[in-house]
Amino acid sequence: MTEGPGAEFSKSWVERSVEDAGTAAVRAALAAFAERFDLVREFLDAPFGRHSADLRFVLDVMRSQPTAGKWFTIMTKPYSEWRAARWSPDGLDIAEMAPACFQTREDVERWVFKQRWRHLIGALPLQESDDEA
Amino acid sequence: MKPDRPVILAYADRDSVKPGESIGFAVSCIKLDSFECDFVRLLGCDAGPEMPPFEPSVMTEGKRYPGREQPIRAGSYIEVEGSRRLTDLGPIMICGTIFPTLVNGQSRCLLSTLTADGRGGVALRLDAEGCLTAILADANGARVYRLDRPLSLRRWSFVVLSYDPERRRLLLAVHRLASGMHDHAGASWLTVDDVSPPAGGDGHLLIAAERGGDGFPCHHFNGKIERPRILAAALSLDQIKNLAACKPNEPVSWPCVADWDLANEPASDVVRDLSGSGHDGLCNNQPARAVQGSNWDGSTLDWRSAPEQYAAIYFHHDDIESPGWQENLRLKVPHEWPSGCYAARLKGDDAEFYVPFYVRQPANASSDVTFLAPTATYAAYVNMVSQQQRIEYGLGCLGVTYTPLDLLAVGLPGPGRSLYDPHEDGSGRWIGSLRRPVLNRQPGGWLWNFQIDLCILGWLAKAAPDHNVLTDEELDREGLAALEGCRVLVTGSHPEYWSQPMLQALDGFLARGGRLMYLGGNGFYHTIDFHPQKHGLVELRRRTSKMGRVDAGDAYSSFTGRLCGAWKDLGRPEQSLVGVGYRTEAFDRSSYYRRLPAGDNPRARFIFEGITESIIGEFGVLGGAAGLELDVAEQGLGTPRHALVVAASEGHSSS
Repeated sequence: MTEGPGAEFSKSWVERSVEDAGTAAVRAALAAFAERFDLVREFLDAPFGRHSADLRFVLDVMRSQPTAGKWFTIMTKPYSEWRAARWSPDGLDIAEMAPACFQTREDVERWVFKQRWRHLIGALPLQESDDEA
Repeated sequence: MKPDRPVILAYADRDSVKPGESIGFAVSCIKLDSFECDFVRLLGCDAGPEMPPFEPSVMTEGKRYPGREQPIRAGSYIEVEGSRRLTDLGPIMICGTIFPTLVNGQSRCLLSTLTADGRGGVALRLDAEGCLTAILADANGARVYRLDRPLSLRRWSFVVLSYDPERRRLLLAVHRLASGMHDHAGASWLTVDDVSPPAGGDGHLLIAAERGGDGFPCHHFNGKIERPRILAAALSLDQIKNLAACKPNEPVSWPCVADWDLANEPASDVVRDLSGSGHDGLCNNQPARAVQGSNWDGSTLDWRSAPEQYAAIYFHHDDIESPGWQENLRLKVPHEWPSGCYAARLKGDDAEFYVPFYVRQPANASSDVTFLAPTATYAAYVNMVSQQQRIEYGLGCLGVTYTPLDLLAVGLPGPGRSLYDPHEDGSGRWIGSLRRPVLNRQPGGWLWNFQIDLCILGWLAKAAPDHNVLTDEELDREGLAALEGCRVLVTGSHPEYWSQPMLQALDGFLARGGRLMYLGGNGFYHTIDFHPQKHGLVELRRRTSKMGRVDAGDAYSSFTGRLCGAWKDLGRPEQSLVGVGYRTEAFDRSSYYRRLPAGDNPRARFIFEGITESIIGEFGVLGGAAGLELDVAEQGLGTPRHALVVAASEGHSSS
């Protein structure tokens, strides 16, 4: 017999709102970056690379969010196809799968970045708001 | 979570085999009633369009086998079998010192003689709220008596169930012990009169679990248990209070039906009953032994010097050594198969699963070149799911990438996780087993560790076709003799964990003029201890709580009694062995090397023959040749003065 996380964990998550899970604090921390579309551009140009201090700050705050409910990526075909998916509240299952397929890890990372920017900071510049892979 | 699609899981009964010897495979099929198996040689992996196509050499024709689902029963416990004395206990007192760490809404059993049908025996449990509970069972079912207040987690308590059949009185008591952690001792108890005696059990007893309706263990306890006893007397409250004030290892003056000393015997599954009744127990699923007990006073870190301070066992519901599945097929390795990495390839519908193993050269053969398959490191990383909140920092990304098999490991807790994934109670995992399905040792998925090692083997098959493959465990057991006839030892891409016998063998090899090619990063980093009898079983005790909580006193291996830790803290920094040592990681994107002036030194000329470029390895699946684990030269840690740094990486990312 194996045992998963108990009801207690799930219950406490269900009873918490997303706002309680630290999101409000993160939004407050990142509010000053709402107009910093230069950082969006910087990330989209090079998701993995040497980033400015301001972008590193934004990325680290984004990373500080709890795992539950976060977008992550699935390499559905080795190094040729990626999808984006979202953890269920208990972190044991996929709660949601984005429809798009991506051909590179950089592209799926860009997509995840856009979701987190929208969720934690605000609207993306119009030319970056297209999520099609 | 049960998979919603066909899945095949399997494991082998060993990691390495010589031609003429045989190897068995146990297979579980989910949503499949048959599977096909062929054997392939692995000389690379499936890493996408930028790599050579993945075309394993097929060694045998495929055969179809009937398949069925075989359950994985995780959770450690002690089992005591077949004692008539345990069936009808008379006046009794079940007691022990416990340190619960997780309740999480489920019953957690401390000791049980309950029958599988629940119509006989007694049990002492924590209920789903963590309250001490007595169960007395008879033909009418289970009667439940409980204390109202839950026990404190991560605090030692002395717990008691006492029953006097003559007076029909049940007593349930908790004495919270002073721990030196600024908490307070205290007691609570419950006496119930006119309690009918339980029906007899069937002589079967479990510690840290109880039998479910299907006869298999359930309600696994999470935490430590020290000196469980069954006294053949029902003690009064005052007597219990006096007993709670004694050290757990002090003898008691009442007759005992069972008196289990849980102090460690190195690498033993046996738990001794000191009562003289012959109720020795056997540990299942490798609970952690030689752990800080309630007696630990901080005066030592070594369980061998003060066994009475380490007389506890740490149980977890997610401990797993092996599922113990029935074997489905067996291969006798043909004599003509060259040494290398092979796999049983199991297929059915869309499901596919590889069980890798190594074929070693026969005893009468030798080769100039030996590849050391890092099975100690593989055992540490089995089924790593990396769901810690900080993982995005470590990997330098936002969207952590998983493969479909990684996700299966997340949803199926039974196969157990890696020594990088804490137990559910937050404590670190110490014991890693290769005798279970390994979902991340497949020739696809991440290009990392095992997958890169397959590429090294593909290169060796061309550069040194008669090379030998040796496993870490073979080097550990056989020492220098395992390298007889070898002139060049080649490591894998991430040979992180080394036992002391492995390093001693390597020292001897180098002292006799052997050459070492360290083709990885973050190698020779940390101690590990192989189980002296069981194959594919390692113990990794970290001295820090980065990968799960570790108590300060748990510093020595329960398998071998050796001091654990990073080798640099034990006087053997890896720089002193190979010139470079671990500094950091670059999992987001790899970089390249730039050739340095020292590369022009005549001593290094052979390295650069035919190479004119100053930038080396600025391409590839990962973005470059320098990444993942990053080592640096550091004279303060032992890089020799005569070492030449002929090229160095640069331009790594900022994450």
